[in-house]
Amino acid sequence: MDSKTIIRIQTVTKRFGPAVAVRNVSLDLAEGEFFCLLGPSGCGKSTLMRMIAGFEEPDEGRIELDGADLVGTPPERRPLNMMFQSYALFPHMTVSGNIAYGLRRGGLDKAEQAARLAEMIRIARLDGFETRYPAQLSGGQRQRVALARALARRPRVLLLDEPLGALDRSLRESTQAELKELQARLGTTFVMVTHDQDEAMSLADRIGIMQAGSLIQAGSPREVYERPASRFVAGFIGAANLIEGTIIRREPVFARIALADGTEIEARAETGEPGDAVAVMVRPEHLSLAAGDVPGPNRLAATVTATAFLGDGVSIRARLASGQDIRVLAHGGAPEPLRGEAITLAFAADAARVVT
Amino acid sequence: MSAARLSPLNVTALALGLAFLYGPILLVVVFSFNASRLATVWAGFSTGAYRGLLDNAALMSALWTSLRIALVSACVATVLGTLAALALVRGGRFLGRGMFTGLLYVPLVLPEVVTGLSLLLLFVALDLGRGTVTVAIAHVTLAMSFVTLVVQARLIGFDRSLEEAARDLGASPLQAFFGVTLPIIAPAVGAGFLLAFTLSLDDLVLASFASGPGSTTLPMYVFGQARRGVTPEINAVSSLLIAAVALTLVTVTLLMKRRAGASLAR
Amino acid sequence: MSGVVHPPGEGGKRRAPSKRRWGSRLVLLAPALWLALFVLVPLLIVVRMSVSESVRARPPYRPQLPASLDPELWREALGELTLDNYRDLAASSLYGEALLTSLGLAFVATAIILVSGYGIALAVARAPQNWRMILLAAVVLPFWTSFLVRVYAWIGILKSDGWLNQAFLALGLISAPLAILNTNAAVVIGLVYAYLPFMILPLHASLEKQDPALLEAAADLGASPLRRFWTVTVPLSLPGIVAGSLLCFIPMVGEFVVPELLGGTETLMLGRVLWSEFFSNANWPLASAIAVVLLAILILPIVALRESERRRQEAAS
Repeated sequence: MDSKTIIRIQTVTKRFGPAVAVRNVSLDLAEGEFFCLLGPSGCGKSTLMRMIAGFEEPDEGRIELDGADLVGTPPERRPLNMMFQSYALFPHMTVSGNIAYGLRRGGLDKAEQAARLAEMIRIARLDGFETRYPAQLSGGQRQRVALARALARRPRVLLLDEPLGALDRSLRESTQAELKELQARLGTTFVMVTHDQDEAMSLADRIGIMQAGSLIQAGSPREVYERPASRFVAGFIGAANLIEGTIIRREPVFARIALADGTEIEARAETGEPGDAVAVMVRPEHLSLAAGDVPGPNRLAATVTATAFLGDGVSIRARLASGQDIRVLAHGGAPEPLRGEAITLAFAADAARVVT
Repeated sequence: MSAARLSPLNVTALALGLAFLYGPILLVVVFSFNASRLATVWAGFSTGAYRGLLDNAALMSALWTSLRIALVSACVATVLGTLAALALVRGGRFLGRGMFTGLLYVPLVLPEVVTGLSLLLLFVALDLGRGTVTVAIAHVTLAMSFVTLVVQARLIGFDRSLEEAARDLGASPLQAFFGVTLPIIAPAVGAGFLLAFTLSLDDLVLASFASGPGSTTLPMYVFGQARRGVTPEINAVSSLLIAAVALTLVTVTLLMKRRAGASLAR
Repeated sequence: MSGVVHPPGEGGKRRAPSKRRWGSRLVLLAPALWLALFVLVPLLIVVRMSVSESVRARPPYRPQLPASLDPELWREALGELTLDNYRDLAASSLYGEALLTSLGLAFVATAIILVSGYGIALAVARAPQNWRMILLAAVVLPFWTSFLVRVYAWIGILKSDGWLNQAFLALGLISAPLAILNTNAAVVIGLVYAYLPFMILPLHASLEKQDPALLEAAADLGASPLRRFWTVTVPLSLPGIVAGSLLCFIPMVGEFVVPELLGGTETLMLGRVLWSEFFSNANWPLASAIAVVLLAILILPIVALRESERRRQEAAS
């Protein structure tokens, strides 16, 4: 990446008693990017973020900001700020009091503090609410106070812990757009923790996927969607069919895989040797219904178990001969099969990937 | 949903319960204005009993002793109890935690006569002259456990990320504690102080064991008189105590309500 | 710590957490010292005093524990320890009677408080939302007024020319004044009055949490009001019942003020006996032995109470 590295996480491990919360994670964050740490709850993403913020210290490894080691620096002396999942708004302070809290310790003179406060109130569209207390605000307003408070000190990096988790669905979508727009305008590096893959996909420049304390893959939304590094990533990002099989032949780009029932298919492969048990990932939208009697490569026989009309297409659940369930997203216009009907599914070898 | 349906049985229970709880107290207040020396036979309205109080030197000295002890012991108990609550909620696991919580629990459940006796034996063993100081020590010991209970409950409900947010925004640990934590747990600390003050002002048994000559507290004085029977003076003193407590509680409630209205109320 | 890039000169790395730990140690220190000196040590002194000779009514009490660690001196001193005080307690029917009276009156009073407190707590919990806090405050408010005054008030009510007898006579319910004051009945009344709020608070806490939909579900499934009460309301409030009963029972057993002011000379309760052994007879070792007995009786209920509170705290957090 061309842009400058702002945060460098090197072989960081964090244990809580016998449990390893974060395991040997290394990651570089570029200045100005919007990075999402994505993973199921308990995967260590929040712990990793809290180590960047300074609320936890790594047991091993180091965390650098602009080339200087942060480990051992207390949170109040780190030039980054955090927006908390619960917002953590001080209930005994007004909106202004909350936003100005960090400014009062920022080495700014009174006039600068007032100007910055006014700017934040404006950015967060909180005009007229300055003297309200958090309990008197709506969920969306509280969220904006928390954001403004964390941004007021102009942090080098803004850490966001599930910032939209407490909002209801409709508000969340509009807030996502605002957040993305704000990040682009300010140019501040955002690091966000979320368990919602749709949110990560729509906001992030890059996504880091964590599982059981380890960072499995980091890359752009397109990369992690199209080239998942593991079955876990394939299943976690978007819907995926994982068809089990064994590699029988390996070519530079493609591999030939035999399924349990003898069917042979081809898929893109970056790893794996003949004899390896692997899974072939095919996204539901890349499967199509083929006329049963037309032979061709990458054909799977299946029986329809359920269908649902979605407006712009039809979702089909079918069962392969091996007993494995498979999802198909057929686009509008395709004939809708009946339950119990035997169908043949087809996919392009280019759209299928071998994952281990 | 929670549309309340108070049955006639519920209403009766409430009415009888409140009458039972307040009746005796009201009788004491009413008969403190009795003109007759026979305290339980009404003989017309009089404020004579109250006027007599100011001239009662023994009573006034007991009152003064009690107030001083209550103030000092409540202050110390509030600090120690709040520290203990912080250690319990924030300290995580530490050596002797079980022992610590156990000892905190002891004054809450031990019969007062046992606590009193044990403290007295300690004072004797230490050769500590008995007086207001020893009574105050006894009251701190009793009250700090109550303060811990009250503050602990509030601290457990306290969202730690508030403190972290303060740290994140540039506050040192101490600044975060005094600027964020303390103001938010202040109602509990205040309630703990009031509880400690009331406990001290009310205690008879510990004070009887721990006090020496010249350190008679108000409850000790009242107890001595009450043993001899009901008098308008004791009714009057009791009424004043009731009034003082009621006034304090009303003031505190109003103050907290005003703050709560402005800030808390999720 | 295997194969990790660990640049030298990172001494500061572990300083922050350990400094934090020192802060919490300091917070702990003051209350811990206070508790050790004014709770733990006094209890040990009581136990030690209870096995001292009661011949001499004034200190120093034998045996004196040696100041040095010389095992010979210690063996000698320990050999002088005596169980005489406990033997005295067991030998005299007075103390056994006091023990039974204490437990009996505390039990009866707890039972009465449980029944009446349940009615009140239930009514408060079922009251409209905006009334609930006010009613609860009204029920608890007397708890803040002086315990002594509240007990004292009953002297005026119960004595032979007291308000109760005046009222009963005026109503023609009785022809001669009832002798209630200075009886066990008066003690029970006083105990009930003084400890009622201790029961209502935990009961209310567990009753208020109950979802009214549970009762509706029970009704929907065909349960009568009484059946609903016994099969839904009561079992769910069991933690409150246990906590409230223990909160009342434990201090009542050692109660001094109530039997002293309202009881007769025959109302012997352990707290009162301890008091008189100490203040009137100046028999400190015997008083200490009574204290140890009181502790031994109460240790089970105390542990049970602590357990129930721990469970409630865990459920809350």
